[in-house]
Amino acid sequence: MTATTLMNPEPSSAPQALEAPEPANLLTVEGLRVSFPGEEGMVDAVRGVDFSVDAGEIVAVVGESGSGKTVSALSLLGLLPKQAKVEMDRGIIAGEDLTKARESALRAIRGRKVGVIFQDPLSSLNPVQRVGHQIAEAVTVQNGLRRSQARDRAVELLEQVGIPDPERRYRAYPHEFSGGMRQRAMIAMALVSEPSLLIADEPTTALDVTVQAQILDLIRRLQQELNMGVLLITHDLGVVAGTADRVVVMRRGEVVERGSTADILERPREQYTKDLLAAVPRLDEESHQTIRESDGGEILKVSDLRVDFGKVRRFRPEKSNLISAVNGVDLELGKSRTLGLVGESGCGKTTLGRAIIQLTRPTDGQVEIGGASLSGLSDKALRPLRTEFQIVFQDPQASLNPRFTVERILAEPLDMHDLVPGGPAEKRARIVELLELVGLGREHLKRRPHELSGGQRQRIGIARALAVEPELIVLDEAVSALDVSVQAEVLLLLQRLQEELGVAYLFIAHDLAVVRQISDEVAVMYLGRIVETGPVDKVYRAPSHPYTAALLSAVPVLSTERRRERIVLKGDPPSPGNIPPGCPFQNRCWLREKLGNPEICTTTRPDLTPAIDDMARSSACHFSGDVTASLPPESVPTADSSGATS
Amino acid sequence: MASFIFKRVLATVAVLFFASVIAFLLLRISPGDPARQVLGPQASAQAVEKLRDQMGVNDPLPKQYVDYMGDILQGDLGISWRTRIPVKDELTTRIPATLELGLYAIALSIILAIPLGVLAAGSRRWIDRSSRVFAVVGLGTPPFWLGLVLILVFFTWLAIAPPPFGRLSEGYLPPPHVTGLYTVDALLAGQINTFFNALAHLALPAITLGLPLAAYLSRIMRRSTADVFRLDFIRTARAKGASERRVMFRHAMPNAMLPVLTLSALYFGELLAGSLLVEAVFGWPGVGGYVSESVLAQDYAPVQGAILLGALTYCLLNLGADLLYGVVDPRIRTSKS
Amino acid sequence: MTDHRERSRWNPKEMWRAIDRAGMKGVTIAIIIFIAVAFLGPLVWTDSPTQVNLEDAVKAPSLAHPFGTDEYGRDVLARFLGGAKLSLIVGVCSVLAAALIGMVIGSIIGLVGGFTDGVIGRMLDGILAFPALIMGMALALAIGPGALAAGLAVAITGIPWYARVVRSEVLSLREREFIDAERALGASRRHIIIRHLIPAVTGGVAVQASLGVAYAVLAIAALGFIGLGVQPPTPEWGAMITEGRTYLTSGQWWMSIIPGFGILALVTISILFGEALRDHLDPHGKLHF
Repeated sequence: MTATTLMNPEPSSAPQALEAPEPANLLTVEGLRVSFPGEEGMVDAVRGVDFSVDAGEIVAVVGESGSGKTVSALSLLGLLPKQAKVEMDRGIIAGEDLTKARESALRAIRGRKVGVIFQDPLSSLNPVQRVGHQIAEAVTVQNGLRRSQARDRAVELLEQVGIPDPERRYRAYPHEFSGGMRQRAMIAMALVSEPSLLIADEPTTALDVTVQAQILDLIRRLQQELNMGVLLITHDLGVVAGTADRVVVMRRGEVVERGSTADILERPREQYTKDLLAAVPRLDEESHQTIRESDGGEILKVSDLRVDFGKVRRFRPEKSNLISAVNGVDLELGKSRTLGLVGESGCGKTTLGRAIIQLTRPTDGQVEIGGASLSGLSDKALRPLRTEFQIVFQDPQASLNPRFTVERILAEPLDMHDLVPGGPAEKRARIVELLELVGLGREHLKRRPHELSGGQRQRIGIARALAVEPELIVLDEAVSALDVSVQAEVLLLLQRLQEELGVAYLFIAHDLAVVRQISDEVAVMYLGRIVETGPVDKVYRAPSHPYTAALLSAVPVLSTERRRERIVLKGDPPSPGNIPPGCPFQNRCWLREKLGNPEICTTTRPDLTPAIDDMARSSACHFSGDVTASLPPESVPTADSSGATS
Repeated sequence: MASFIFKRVLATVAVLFFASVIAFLLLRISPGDPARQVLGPQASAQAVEKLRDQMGVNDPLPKQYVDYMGDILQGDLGISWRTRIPVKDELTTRIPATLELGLYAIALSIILAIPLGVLAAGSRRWIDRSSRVFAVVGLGTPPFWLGLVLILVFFTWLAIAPPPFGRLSEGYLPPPHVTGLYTVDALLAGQINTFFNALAHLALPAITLGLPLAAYLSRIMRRSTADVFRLDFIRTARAKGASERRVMFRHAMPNAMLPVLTLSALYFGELLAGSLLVEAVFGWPGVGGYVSESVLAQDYAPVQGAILLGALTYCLLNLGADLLYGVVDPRIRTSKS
Repeated sequence: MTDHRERSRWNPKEMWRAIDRAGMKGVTIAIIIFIAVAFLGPLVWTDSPTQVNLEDAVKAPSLAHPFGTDEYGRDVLARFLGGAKLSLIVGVCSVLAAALIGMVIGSIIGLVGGFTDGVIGRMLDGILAFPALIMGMALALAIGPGALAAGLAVAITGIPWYARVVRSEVLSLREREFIDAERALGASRRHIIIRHLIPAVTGGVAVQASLGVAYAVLAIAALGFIGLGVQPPTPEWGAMITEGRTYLTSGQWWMSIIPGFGILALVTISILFGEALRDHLDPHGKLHF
């Protein structure tokens, strides 16, 4: 590491000889070791890790799952389960010696000198207490203020972290907050006594990309206002690139490499760091898809598809709570091609995918797969057709029956459709063939899902879908739950399978970079509607809907020019139960603001219409021609001006 | 919130309907002839038949049910043919005795179970082990047998307990009736001796009745607390710098009590069954004793009345627990489904 | 082909190792001992449990009668062994019946949902308002006291518990993606129920059933104790406690106290087995069964 910038933590330490005083050291830890009791003795989660944070800097600890990054951070404050064994050679937080600290001393540090925010803001808030009370509690604990004073301070903090209408929001319960607001509330709680150090454990992992941009902005703003040091734990190198000053790369409980953000991202020394960087899907790189002309035929045709949830009240229609999760969608997908479907959580992309393969029955509209209309078919009539289309789910753990062996899982589709004539030997041969197709082998036949890694499990899910030799596979966030290096492998596998088998993919994802890498075309979804579609490179280079532009702008990219101007959308995606008249995007639209709030946006709903100059592209914006021209410079990393490879 | 309450109440009404049908049917399908029982073996067949008509035994079952429920809603639970006393009157005089016993048993079990359950959920293994032994033995001990063992030890061998019969020893008069709970009434009247005598009589039955309840409560309390301590917001509370005591009482307990609440209400039926046995063992003049005597004498009216009363109380208690759950947990009362 | 896993299913040594790994060695041994005592005991200790011998009445434990004799001079040990067998058989049979019926009802209402679920659910709640003892009393009046009434009471009052466990598991399973994956493959509803749902709920039902046996044994003994259970002279623990009760205050304790230990042992073993099974199947305490 770049020489332990050790300083006496006392403020009255030896005066600095040279010009600017070195920033105060907030956190130094050396030789940190953490182990947990396992089935056979202690299991080491962290083995001898050093890092430090100075005042006013953001230090990121990055690593894939199992790298020990979260455990390292939480162990410092005694926030791990009691069974954990924590040791260190040296450990100083804000002047307190951790090696000698007992629980009571650690408690005095927590909240007062070090604030912490966690990954999942919903489960991290007490569900039965009002959000305001939870912040006020922190105020009481830390500052010993009286109730009314604590309340005022809590309202002030809510305002400071950008929660609108804080007086009213003070009384809300966590479940009434959106994900972004919950994380803001967590930040407010961590800032109660203006700590000098903030530990942020995957603070944006559970959030949508536009909300992630807001939260990262907020953390940076507060960090500068309060001159805090921040220890940022993350798996996302994009987040690191735009946020951190220094980076520590961890793997399997050890530090692999450390250095300034620019050094790590641009001049990595260790092979692991290089591999990690190479595995990150790049938003600013051309699609890896080999350009193939579609052979003309279409595998999927969706027209005016609607899926409604909720109840219609016959006698009190005003009380009906009907929600259109998918609200009039048209899609086409050519044989052996990939359509990426992107959108934030709640936009209806998963429902659309499920409705296409009739797992959720559409309320209205047509779905044709391979020329056969699926609408109105009974479950029984659908069954033989299901060999044409399959689905792979997000969570490979949940989508495999935990009791079944791999062999049984893969035998199910074969038995169901009588796909293998002959005896058990032939069937087994076919199963092994399927395993080999997805890069596994005979040795996995007798394993059960929990004996496989996440990537292996997802490969089984893919093999199961392939067993019936479908023409179309819906990949519903199929790589989202995987570590970035595993994700890269699975993406390559999917591309290879497409080339070998000619299967078409509907690739549903929230990660725009992944979509660019694998898709031929892209469709962007917002509030149950498609707002833009077109060939992926064209859309990414020159978006013609303001929402697409905002999504692209919000994605953190692997480049260190960190103060890139961004389009940061205000607010959260609204719920599909409450759509404004006119353009559904109007209340978050940056373009409408820029154009001086034209009236048409609030009165007329824009339809998805082909562009004048390019029939392959469509956009649902009254001002689709103005989008690219109105973009702030450099705000969209993929735009032509940023010099993407031609 | 209003629709939440409405739905719960509606569900409770449905449950009560089914419970009353069950209680009604159970005693109507029995082979004995109630008219014959009232009139005795010497009565003529005509007299029996006439009474059967009067009693409505010859009516079709649905009509009998409607008539019966109509009577009950007017407060008429029928007459015991054995004592010729209206069931309602007998129950009114006996309920305070059962209530007093039940309240002491519940108080005892809460005092024992909550700390035991919470401590057991903590990190110290030996506390968990011993609380588990207590719980399993407490749940496994038949209450009637435990009562007998207590009588053997404390009355027969050690002779420190009063004789296992009634609520007061001979020579003591019941205190002036206010609540019907002798310990409370005695204190209200300033009769300290009566108070201690009543308490001494309560001790063994209350322990007998309270022990299985304490065992049950401590187990669900332990599991519930342990579950809550695994949740993320406990870590958040610690990260705020809250003391362990604060984490426990402000964050863990309110969440841990939620399942305990509903599961305790479900146990109420067992408490009633237990009090029936314990009252039989200790000659306690409560509802349970009345029911077991009536059952053995094939005296249907009291049995049916008591069973219905028990089922009603059970349903209302569970409704109360559900509503309380809704008050404590905002997610329940605002969820639309 | 090396097929360790499937061959091992029939290997007692491997099974024992699995029990050991699950932390259920002690309680399994206890169960085996109890069953052996109940079924082999009467073959070893051949005194008749019903032979009246007034000369030997109310004798304290001795070599000839290790548990003493009762008021009719019957050997308490022989009656104790008879009671063990009876409790075990009636308890286990009634619980099996309840579990089976409850499982069927629970999976139906869990799958169908909606109005059916609401109505049947409230009916089951209605049954829950009656503890087994009360139900047993009423049934004893209706069809006459005996093993049938007692077992029936335990079975009927048990059904809602199993139905609840199965219903909630079916509901949570229905949301699991592997069920969706099966549907996407074209599996019929029957296939999903038989191949996926039923195997998945058996664990929860087994835990509930094991705790149910404990509850059943207690209820059957309680019915015997108030005189509405299995009728004399058949040896039954609850009835034995009542019969010996009058002698208790004069210090002749063995007639009442000894059968109680039998109940305590059987109930404790059932609870421990159920808890051990639950801890094994659900180590993180996600389910509340």
